Amino acid sequence: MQAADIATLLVNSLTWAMATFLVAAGLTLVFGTLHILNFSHGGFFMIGAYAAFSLAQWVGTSNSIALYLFGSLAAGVLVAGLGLVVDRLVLRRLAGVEDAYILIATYALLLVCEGSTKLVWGLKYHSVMPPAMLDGAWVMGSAVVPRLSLFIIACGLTVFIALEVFLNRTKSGRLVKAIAADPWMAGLLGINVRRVYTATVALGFALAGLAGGLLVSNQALSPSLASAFVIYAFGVIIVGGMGSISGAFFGSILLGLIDAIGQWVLPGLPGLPFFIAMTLILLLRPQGLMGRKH
Amino acid sequence: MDNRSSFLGGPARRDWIVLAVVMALGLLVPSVLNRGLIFIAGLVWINAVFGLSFNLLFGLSGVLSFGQAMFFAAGAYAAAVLTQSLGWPFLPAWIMAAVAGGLLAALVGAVALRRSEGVYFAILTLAFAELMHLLITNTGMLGRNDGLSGLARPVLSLGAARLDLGQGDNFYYFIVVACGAMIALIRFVIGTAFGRALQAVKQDPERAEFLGIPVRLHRLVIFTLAGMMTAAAGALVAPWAQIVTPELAHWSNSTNPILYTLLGGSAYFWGPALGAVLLSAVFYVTRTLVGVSDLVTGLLLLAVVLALPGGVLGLLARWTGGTRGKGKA
Amino acid sequence: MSTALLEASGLRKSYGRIAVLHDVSLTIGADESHVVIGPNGAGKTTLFKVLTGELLADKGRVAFKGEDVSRLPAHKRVHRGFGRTFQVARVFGKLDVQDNLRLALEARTRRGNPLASIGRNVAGELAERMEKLLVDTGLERQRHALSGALAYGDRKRLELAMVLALEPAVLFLDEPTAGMSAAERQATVQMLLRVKQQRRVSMLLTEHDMDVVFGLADRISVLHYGKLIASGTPAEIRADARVKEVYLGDEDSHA
Repeated sequence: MQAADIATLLVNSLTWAMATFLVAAGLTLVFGTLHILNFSHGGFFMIGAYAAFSLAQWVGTSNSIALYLFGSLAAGVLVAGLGLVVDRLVLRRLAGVEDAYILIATYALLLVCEGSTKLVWGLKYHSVMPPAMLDGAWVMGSAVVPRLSLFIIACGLTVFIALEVFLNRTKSGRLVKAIAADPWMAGLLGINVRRVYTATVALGFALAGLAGGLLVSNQALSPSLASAFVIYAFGVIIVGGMGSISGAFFGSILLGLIDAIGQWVLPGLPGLPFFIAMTLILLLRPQGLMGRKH
Repeated sequence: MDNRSSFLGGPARRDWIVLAVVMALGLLVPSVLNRGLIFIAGLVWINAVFGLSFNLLFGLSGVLSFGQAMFFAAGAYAAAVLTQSLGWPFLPAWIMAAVAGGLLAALVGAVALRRSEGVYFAILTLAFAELMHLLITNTGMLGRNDGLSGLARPVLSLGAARLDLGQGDNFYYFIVVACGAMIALIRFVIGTAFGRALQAVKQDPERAEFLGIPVRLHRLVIFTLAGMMTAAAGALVAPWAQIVTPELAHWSNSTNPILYTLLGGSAYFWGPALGAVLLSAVFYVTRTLVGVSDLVTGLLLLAVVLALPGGVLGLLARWTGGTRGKGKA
Repeated sequence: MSTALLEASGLRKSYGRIAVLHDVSLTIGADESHVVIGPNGAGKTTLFKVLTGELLADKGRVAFKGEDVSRLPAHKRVHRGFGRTFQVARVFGKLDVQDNLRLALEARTRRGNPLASIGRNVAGELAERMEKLLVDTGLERQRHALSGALAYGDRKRLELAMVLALEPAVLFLDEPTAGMSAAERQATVQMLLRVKQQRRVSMLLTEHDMDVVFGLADRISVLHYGKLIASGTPAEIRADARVKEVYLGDEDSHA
């Protein structure tokens, strides 16, 4: 295998990994804190992407990265707002409910997202052109590295570092971690657990929306976007350890590499290595790479 | 028996009567409805069995699977391949399709049931179903994304008699009889000691284990049985719709039985069947409005989980005096 | 010892790096009621879990009637003759008393086989046995009561009835009188003595209340920080210096 091929393999798998991590980050954050596996997370990611798309349409063609980033942030804010509504209307009411019903309820939310998306934006495929600076590719020797890929990898890294700093170095972040570890104790210590939950949900949804905006140029936009990412996001957080951001980060890299290598070895069955890896890990070490045993 | 005890094994007779009535009504359908609606009615029967076998897992045993579509598709594709490509007569093909579903379920169950936490099991079943979907769409022999079409309605030769199920509404009648038999089998299983043990496993697995009930084995057996029944139902789709596509293995098909069950009421034997009827009506009414069926289904499901966890039958039970002796725990 | 019904030797169990059981060995003979006492955290519950199969020991051996059951899962041990009650009585709350017993009787008959007893009316065949269980535990007038709504003491009795339905050779009772009033405790002790005598079962129980301990025990074992520091007849234990020092030192310590 030539160096160029290896480079391509690495870049592709890292791009996939970072894209998946961007989606998975909010999902694992909410699970780690509220212990709710939000099936609809992929749906809100999709809404974020569509929102960024609409914004791009409204603003007209632009070649500014700044505008692209702004669109992503706007999507994040919008989806965070939706998240607050969802928290109020749905998530809070799921407090004492059995796990199975929580899964079903968040799945129902996903359906609502998909239905709403189809209603508002229709079934047609759309695409958003990335700003000029991110378009095209760098040619290094015989390797071709798309600029958008590098952008996505950079975004993933940035979000990871930002989240790690937030959770481990800031007071609010450590509060979130404390509550995730022991909400009862936290409540006893006078912390307003409900408010932190709501903030965490908002953050989780914001991350979904942000991911949607950042990745909007990465693939075609269609109502099946949610389904496409949900399973991969699940797989990544399971492998990484549910509730762990660093687990999601390294898990996505691991799975991305395994899938890319698997595809090179056994082409024609896209996604198969991913599933095998996910199943094996679920069986051998269900708490994931960095998770704690329940 | 005290009505307050929600233990099955009591009012079995009532369920047999309901089954007889429902089948009689079902057989009357072709004289009242047009071709298009008869087709839907046939699908409703099949989906009712799909929902009822799901509830063997969820309502009876407390096992939540997000991947039942893989067995449905396995049955459908097995029937299609056996009859079309290998020329098998329909009845043996149907049985073989059910067996295939059972084997697949035994395999998946052996792997997925090793850890008892429900969330992991649910996600594993989702993943396996996606894998199945992936494999189907990438297999030339199964028609890739186009599936297998042109499937014929069979002609049954039972000894001396020949029944052409391709004529008129004959296959619909066959569906009613076949599904009725499957529903009867499901009801029978629920009323056995095994069925009661599964209810115990659902309520308190540790207590059940310490009564000598092997929890994992019981879950595996019911998962296998449910897989078999689901595949048997799916196999009927092949000659009925006369085409099988990968959509049958898509995860939205896995969530259909969940919808039927929750809407109708998971604590009641007939819940999933009622849910299948209601949701088919909803889907039919909203079919032309893009996105509306997803939206309505999602909202319905949310409403049921948040406000009406007992489903429609649960609501009815509350209105008619709150007796819970109606079905399963 | 050939007369030992249950023999545990060298049991070791750790949670992560914390060792909870250190080399615990004890034996229970036929028709013996054996009480394990020790301060909270001494490892009594873990010992229970290891003996009944809820957990597997890291090292050591559990033998029942001479057969090594150390690696058998809990339900298989139940088939061999183990019966276990929990500190907080676990019954099937959504079912009535009679149906709970029916489940236990069916479980006993089926011995774990999903296909067994299809078409048989086990409850009908064993109606006499069900009656006796109800009478022995004083529940015959509550047979149709919803078990989840039973008073705490009655729930414990139901759980005992369910376990007795399994016809165990050894009963493992985790703090059978926890949370009971003095009168209830006395009644429970009497009931357990009666059960032991009539059904010829051995018992292993943990307890905190010394009246109950000395009222029931044929032999007592004392657990302290995961180690067995003494084992013998009540008189021997009362006289044991180490035990006095560690546990019985303050005679006023009741549960």
